[in-house]
Amino acid sequence: MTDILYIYAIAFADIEPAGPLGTGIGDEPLLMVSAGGLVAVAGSLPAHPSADTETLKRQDAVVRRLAGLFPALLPVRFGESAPDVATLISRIAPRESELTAALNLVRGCVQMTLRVFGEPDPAPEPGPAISGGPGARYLETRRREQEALRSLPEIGALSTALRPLLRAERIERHGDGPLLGTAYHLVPREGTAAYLAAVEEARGRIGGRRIAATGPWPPYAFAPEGVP
Amino acid sequence: MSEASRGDSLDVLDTSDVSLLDTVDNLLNKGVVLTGEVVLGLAGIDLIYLQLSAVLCAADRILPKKPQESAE
Amino acid sequence: MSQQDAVHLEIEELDALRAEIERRTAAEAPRWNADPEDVQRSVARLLLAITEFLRKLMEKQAIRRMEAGTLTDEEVEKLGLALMRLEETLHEIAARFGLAPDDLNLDLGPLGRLI
Repeated sequence: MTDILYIYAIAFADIEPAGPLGTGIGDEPLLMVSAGGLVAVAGSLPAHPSADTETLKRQDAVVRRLAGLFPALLPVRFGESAPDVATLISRIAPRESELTAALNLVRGCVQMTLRVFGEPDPAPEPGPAISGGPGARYLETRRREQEALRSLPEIGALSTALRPLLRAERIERHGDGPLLGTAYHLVPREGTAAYLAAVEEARGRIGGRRIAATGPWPPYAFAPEGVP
Repeated sequence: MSEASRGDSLDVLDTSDVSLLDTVDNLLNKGVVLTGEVVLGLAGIDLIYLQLSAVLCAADRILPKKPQESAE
Repeated sequence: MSQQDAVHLEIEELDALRAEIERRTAAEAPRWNADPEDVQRSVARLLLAITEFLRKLMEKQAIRRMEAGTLTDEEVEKLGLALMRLEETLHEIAARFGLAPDDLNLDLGPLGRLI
């Protein structure tokens, strides 16, 4: 049984952590693996961890601690590992520019998550007619559908009130059920009180819908997407 | 659930289901993805291990630009 | 950093969240196993689902390139037609095995959520 190198987070290489890294989800000592201008924080585990809620909470606690030690940190998804250091570096190196841009975005910020419950707005009027042949029309229709899944006009008044307080926003609209959608907000670390106050203040202006705000979290939702 | 005042949003509360969903959502759906793993099986036997991390990359980033061809 | 919750939720909403949590905390790398009673249909479903997954991946890239303006009008039309026809073909083949379009959306775990 060979150990795996289990990966927790990515940070800039040229900045020392503000304290000891501590241990990971298996009480293993954490180490930093350099990959170009970046470092990966990892630990050696005997086996791939399984995704039960206790383990997930433990990993979140590790990532939180790391986020407090580095000015900019990207959490890595649960379950990511490499067989050895060389493989780990080979996974990170080709994505250095993408990861660097994401690190620069999240520097000094935390994630606040807003869950929105309630009814969707009535279906909007169809957009302007699409020009072009059937292939172009198909792609444009699909593009509009994708765009709709990244928007929540139902909380427009709230979004407007929050916008000056955000570094970035990412929205996921869900299909059905009481959970209408989720807004992930990137907020400067010292701005969370103002953010929550603004949420409280605008809470009554979203057509009777209800919201649950949680956070601050490390910036999980602002890591680059899987496929560039 | 009691109808407590909604103004107590700044109190630190115990982990609720909402926070647990967020932990699961953050760790399983978000974060940097370095590998892509799927195991495909038949009759309960693992047959195919797909490791797509080396494959999933936008072509216009890694392939040389094709010279424009005249009418095909 | 401390965590803060800002609202109380109705029972129905909590149940929806619990169901969501259960759905997502599955075993490690997701496993898909064919039904031994109907292997042919199961294999067809798997192959079609993989093809549909790749088709969706290509479609997402095509839309990205279209939005970025790095495709000519002719390329957009060709890609759109090809993707549209591929989707129709997959659904036709699926129907012959008694599979609905939705049966091709296997949850591929983290891979599924890459797109």
